[in-house]
Amino acid sequence: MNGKTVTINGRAEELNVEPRRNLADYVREDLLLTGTHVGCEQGICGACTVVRDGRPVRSCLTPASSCEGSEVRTIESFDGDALMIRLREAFSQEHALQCGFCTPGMLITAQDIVRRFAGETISDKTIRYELSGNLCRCTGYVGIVRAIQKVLESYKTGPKPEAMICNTVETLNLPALDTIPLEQNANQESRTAATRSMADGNGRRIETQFELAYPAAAVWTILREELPAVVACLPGAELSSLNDDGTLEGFFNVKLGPVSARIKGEGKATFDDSSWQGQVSGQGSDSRSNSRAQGTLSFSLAELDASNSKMTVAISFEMSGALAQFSRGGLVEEIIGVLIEQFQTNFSRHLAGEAPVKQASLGIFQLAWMAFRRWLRR
Amino acid sequence: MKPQAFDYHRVEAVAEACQKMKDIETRPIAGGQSLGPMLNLRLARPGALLDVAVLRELRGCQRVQGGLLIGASITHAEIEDGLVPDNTGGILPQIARGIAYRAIRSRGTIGGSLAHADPSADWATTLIALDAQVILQRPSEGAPSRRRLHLQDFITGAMQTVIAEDELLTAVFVPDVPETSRFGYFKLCRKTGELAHAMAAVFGGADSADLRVVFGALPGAPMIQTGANALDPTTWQQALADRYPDMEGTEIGVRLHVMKKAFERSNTQ
Repeated sequence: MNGKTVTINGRAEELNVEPRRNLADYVREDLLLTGTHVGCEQGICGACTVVRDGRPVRSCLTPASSCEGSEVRTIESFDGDALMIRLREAFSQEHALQCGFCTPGMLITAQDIVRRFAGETISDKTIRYELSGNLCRCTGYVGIVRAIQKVLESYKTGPKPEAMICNTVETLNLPALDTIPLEQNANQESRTAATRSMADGNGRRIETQFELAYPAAAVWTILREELPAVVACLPGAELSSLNDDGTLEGFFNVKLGPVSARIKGEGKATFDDSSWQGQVSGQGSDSRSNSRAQGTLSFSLAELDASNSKMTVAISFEMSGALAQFSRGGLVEEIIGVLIEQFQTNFSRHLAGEAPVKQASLGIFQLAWMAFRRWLRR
Repeated sequence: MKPQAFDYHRVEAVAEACQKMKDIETRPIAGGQSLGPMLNLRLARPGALLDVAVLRELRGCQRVQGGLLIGASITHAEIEDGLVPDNTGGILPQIARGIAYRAIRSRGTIGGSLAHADPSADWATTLIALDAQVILQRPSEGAPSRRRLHLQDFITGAMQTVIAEDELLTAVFVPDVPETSRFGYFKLCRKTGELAHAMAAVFGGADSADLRVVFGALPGAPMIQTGANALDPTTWQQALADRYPDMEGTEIGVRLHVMKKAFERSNTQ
């Protein structure tokens, strides 16, 4: 025993759990309080809602270990609660449940609504808004809203339900604001209009064009001869071996905020000296996130005049696995655009004999992660 | 799903928390309402979580000259319920009330939301409109080292900020909102409480030159236009098309309409 405790339904319980064990599993499996239901496990459905320190919370998103010192109430503790007795009766009368799976979460949310709005007249729309975080797959919302209205109605006269005790807000103690230096605009994101994304098979291809103040033939030689350095211009990419036949192995490191992955992959580099076109294509997987990816970085050169050339670089990705779910439109294309522009900057610096731009590693990984997400989605 | 195994740390002071974050595998967790789902889906696999929700130094607020300091671990629900003094004529509680669901607001924090920098988060867009600042702290020899930035300088992209590995966002400064000013905020969600697909906030004084208009829920960081042209649809259309060459006309149209809605609200509120 490590001495950590949490109060569950008025009883001190030992918190001798793995840190990753969530509160829902802790009350259900360790304490056998199975009234709390587990649905989506990602904070959407509301079935697991319990009261923590006076407020409704998602027990599936709450590590049990974070509850040390907290007061938690599950549906079981409301047996004799005067407000809950009224709610149970109203739910029964108004047919506010069918299968009952969502009901414990609905009741916890409902008692919070009634406690906050008792004595007021609120519209059905307001109740529906308040209930939007609890899903009922039997679609019994009409009955649920009616039941809550009924209980609110019953509190129009007589004493109000008891308030829950919540945490207090304290007073901050920071030094005077003007003694803290104010930093101006550090590094705003930028995009050049030359970056385009377009449909490519099932996914999209992000392409950019830029001019280089070097003859095309000289640039081509560098692409040909110094591939490892060229790969290093792409943030997050890491080449571990390159063979004479063009086959290669490497890693692609990606990180976005709290998410990170390291894709181990193999591929092949091909060059067409006659048309100044080439590509590096590869595929790999990240064992931690159980995701697979394949992608191609293609580049081509065109001569502008004797001392200037134009380079086109494109990235296309295809991915599958756990990470594929986690994305919203536009976000990824946006970031891969930034990634490819980073490549442009670094490659231009490489040609000029300078090192790639030093960035905080996080920034680079963040960019690369977004690219990775784009890769996943295709 | 269940998260991958991690260690869990709880510390007493911000200084101690910053020290712990020097370990690259350690991630801070405040309310955990964004990180929680990512952990459960095994998208995030930190080696250790550092609980900053319990840090007393972040759990308060303070009236200061010209505005209000809100501790980073103050929850949306506490702002919604009026437990934090309001220096904005009701704007802060109104925004807080629109965030996700009540059970999420119970735990989600203002500092966590800003540091996570999800483009669709409510605080980022609206607090940029109010010209809020963030205060960052990191350990150094002797006294802690602090800096502050305007929120629009702090957020540099989707889920990207200028925060350093061992740095914590400790407080948010919200300037006083004069009575004569107006504010309107509108977001477009397919389902109530869901992350928005488009959002805009309009803030201004009686003088049209004071206008600040912010677009959020973009692929990247929120965009801002200020001054007399801040509400001009043509200016915005051009700005969006320049910034996002691939954004379809329909989508730009939707975002302009969302701005119109926000402006309409600013007239009536």
